[in-house]
Amino acid sequence: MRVKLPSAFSPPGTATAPAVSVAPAAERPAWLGVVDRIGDFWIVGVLGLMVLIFGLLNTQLFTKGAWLSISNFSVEYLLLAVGQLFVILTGGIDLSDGAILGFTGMVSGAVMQSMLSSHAGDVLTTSVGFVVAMALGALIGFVNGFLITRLKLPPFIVTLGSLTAVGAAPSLINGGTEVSNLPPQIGNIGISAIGGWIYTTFLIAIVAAVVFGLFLHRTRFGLRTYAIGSNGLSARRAGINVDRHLVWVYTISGFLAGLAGMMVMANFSVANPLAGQNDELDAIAAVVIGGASLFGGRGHMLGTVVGTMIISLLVTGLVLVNVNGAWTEVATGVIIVAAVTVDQVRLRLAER
Amino acid sequence: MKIGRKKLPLGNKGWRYRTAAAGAAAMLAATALTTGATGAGTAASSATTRHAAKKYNIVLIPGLTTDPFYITMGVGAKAEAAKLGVNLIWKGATTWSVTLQTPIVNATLASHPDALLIAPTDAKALFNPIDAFVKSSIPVITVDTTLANQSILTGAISSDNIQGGEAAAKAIAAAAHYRGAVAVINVVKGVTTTDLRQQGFLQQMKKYPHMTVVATEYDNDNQTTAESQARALILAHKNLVGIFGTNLYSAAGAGKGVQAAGMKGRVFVAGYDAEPSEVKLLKQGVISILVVQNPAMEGKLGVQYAYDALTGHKNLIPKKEVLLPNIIATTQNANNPKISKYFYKTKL
Repeated sequence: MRVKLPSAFSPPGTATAPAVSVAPAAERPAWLGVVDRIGDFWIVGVLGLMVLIFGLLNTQLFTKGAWLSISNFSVEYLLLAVGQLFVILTGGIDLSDGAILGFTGMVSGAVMQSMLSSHAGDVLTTSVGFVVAMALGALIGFVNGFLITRLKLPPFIVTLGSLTAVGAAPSLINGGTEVSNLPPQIGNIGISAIGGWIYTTFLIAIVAAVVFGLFLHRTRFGLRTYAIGSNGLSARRAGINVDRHLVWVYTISGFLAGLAGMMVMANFSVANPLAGQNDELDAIAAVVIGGASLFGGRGHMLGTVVGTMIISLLVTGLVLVNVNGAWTEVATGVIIVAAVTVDQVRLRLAER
Repeated sequence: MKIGRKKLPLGNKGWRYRTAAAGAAAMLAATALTTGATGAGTAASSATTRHAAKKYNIVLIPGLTTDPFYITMGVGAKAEAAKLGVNLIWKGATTWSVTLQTPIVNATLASHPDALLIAPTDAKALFNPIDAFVKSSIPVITVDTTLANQSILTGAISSDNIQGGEAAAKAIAAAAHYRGAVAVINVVKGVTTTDLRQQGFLQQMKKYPHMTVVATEYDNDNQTTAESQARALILAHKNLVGIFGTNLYSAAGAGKGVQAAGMKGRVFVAGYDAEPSEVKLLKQGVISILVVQNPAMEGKLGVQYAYDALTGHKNLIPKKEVLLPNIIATTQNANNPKISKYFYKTKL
């Protein structure tokens, strides 16, 4: 049997379309209708169930403190996962977004530090910091996309290269040590919470998810993203400029990683050269748990948000129910495999 | 020390081996050195007479040159070298990497220094490059990290991680009046140094009948994870009075979590090392206690032992690995010059 690899391993546009099975219309048992109606959103139920279980084991989960802990943790992963979703929908993968997070944070931090030492205003410095991080993130994403489309290299290889190179770059900035001389506005963004319940950073991440969600599900750009992931060759034949589209998609991912870099910096009032390391794996996990297919063409924003919240819930939840810390990653791994398995079974049932 | 991409196992900043086998090997080596001392002694003394006017060149290769811990070690070594009238040459890679450190070690041999001080980035991979120095009769002393096989070394200096963990436990217990629950936020399972710190902490806590250790978490050196874990620990254990973060990011993350949960001053966070950002958190009271290593003393002793070896006073060098005690800094004493002089430097 021929094993089909996700198209992230092959140059863009050359991946074959997943086999479309023609479902025979007759003899469909009634209960399958329920499966259909649950549709892609069964994962919301899984999150609800997890909240219920953790909450029953320790009611502290239903406190404001637990919510703040979970939502605060989710910020960087949410931003990365939103960008990652676009990339994965096209059948690609972005292994470099965690590294971009760390690097853009350090560069932006160093720029802000030197601006402060030359007596620039706090607000101006903060604004420049944001622009630098997001522009640099977008630029690295653009380079990723450019290499993937123009040199016809597999996304896996290109972003693995960026992960290594960009990941090592923070040690070249500020002597590889933390930048802590930042404008007070940065720290204020990190600790301010609207009504004491919604951190500003979390609000920014949620707004980004909603905006990019609408962009994905309500615009031609989004439709084309799905089209390319479903069948790159057909999309090309249909007249879509696949290369240009892919460059945009990786640029979005890099841009959001830059924004995530600012959010992490705001949380700790410090630019940390190790920030974001291994975050790409959690972002990919969140997207996959949220029902996206690594083969491209399938997935949605709500699922990605829920997937991120599941990962975030695990960190706080497992401590609350007093499970040894070493189990957090075991649990995440099990949930990834379980989510994909259930999803596959559901799809097969839907095809019947 | 940061434990990060490609940088994994570290020290005090590296792996530490304190096995019985290593100890036995060191003993054997000591015997070998005494029996072979006559030949080496004559060679050394003749060298001294020939180059009476020449200054000794001692090279210090840190684990990485950008880390305040190693920079502080370099400062200590330089000061001692000036005192003894020897040259100290500082060189190394900017990141923690066996691949980058090895060629630097090899190139150093080509320049024929009189002695080598080194923090090996791998306890085994650096054995051959270091052994090449020993074979050319250049004494080698390890600082911070060391080799798995210490038999070829003239000396080894590091800091005592078990004592560091114990000191953190004592400081938290005293701050909390010896009552309440504590937790550890460690980095990754299986890193020798941080595991020893945790071991020291746990065994000291057992001595306090009214204190319990309620959890041990691992944050993978991710500050955001440490923060969430600290917040969850506070929710899960109403009587929590302290968290021990075994390295920079574990402690900084825990401190932020405690602060965000509004428990600053009620839950005491103990951390390790004294990098500038940590000292800032210590002064703000976000971290209450820092276990500060003494890298300057490691550098100073390293130069001293190298000088002893070169001037025929090998008998003054301890045969066993020297483990230096740590210093405890608190929010209260952070501005006391007797304590703050131990905070790590960022400039050589």
